Amino acid sequence: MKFGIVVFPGTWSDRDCGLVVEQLEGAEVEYLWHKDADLRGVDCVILPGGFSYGDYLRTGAIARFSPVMESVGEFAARGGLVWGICNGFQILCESGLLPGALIRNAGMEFRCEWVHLVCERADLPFTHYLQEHQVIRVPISHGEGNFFADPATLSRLEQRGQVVFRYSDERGYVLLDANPNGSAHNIAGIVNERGNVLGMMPHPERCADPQLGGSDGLLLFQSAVAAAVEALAS
Amino acid sequence: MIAKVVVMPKAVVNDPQGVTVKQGLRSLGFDEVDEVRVGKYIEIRLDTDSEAEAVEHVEQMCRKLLANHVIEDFRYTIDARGNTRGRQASPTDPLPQSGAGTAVRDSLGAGDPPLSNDVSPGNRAGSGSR
Repeated sequence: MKFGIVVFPGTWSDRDCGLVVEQLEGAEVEYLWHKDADLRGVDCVILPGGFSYGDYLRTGAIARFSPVMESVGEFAARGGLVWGICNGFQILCESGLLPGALIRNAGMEFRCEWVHLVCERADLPFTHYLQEHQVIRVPISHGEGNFFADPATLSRLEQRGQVVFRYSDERGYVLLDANPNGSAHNIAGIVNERGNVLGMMPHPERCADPQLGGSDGLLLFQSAVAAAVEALAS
Repeated sequence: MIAKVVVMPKAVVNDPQGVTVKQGLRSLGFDEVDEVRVGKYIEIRLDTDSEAEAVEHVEQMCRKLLANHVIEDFRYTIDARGNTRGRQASPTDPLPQSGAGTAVRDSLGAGDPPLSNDVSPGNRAGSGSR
């Protein structure tokens, strides 16, 4: 299977994602330039972290209009796997592929640290290697990761089980103290209703190697590979 | 023609920038500062003679790109006086809804009387307090 990693001007986590993918059995990397509308037959699109277009106007606001994003939207509509990490999550919200928005962290700080996440959906293509309520340790690195949605949208997300990851303590308790950025309901990652578009602020690609302090992120990549391989076989 | 767009965080959205600026102002001794909200002011020069077209297009610009409806509101005025390069283009009141009775001092408009409340004739919103 093939991961397509989108590269915008200002993207910085593309090679980190690529390095992880290169080490996965049965996975290849294709870098997709933002001006290129051709997704080249990839099975899973990753929108990586960074500062696409300098984060001008709002994070993800300009990236959303690039040629590649139109194709990503069509790909998602056909059920293709789309995975937005950090800036990628912001772009997915700006594109309307996911609800809500990511605003300035409460406290105004850029937060770069390890956090714990509790997984609430272990049945998704991206998470089926995890157990439900499993706690993983993943780094965050963002200034605008404060998830906001109006009350009606939040309650829809909760009712439909679209919250995939929440900031928690190491035991998996979702506490205010464990919330690094002020996100509503401690939300760190959500999925669309269909379950094929995931957006998350934390960086699994930065913890996919024990030498980098942790390898919990690898589980997400392995899940996506297995899901894509299965989809190809069926 | 020039469009003056103001984009503000919605009232229901926390504005950590505003809170921080408020703290800054208070620490400077401005104890009366009750609330601060920080938004964006955008000027767009338009090469068109049609005010109706300008309004329609600026509305679309706001909806499609300049503001994110999930978290922001926008408002704008179209200034038909047109050529607003340089000094002549001094950013007039970026808060047109504040009403004509509000005196807004414009640090760039040195040539104008500083606190006049005249309604700018070319200002479509008719509330160009400057």
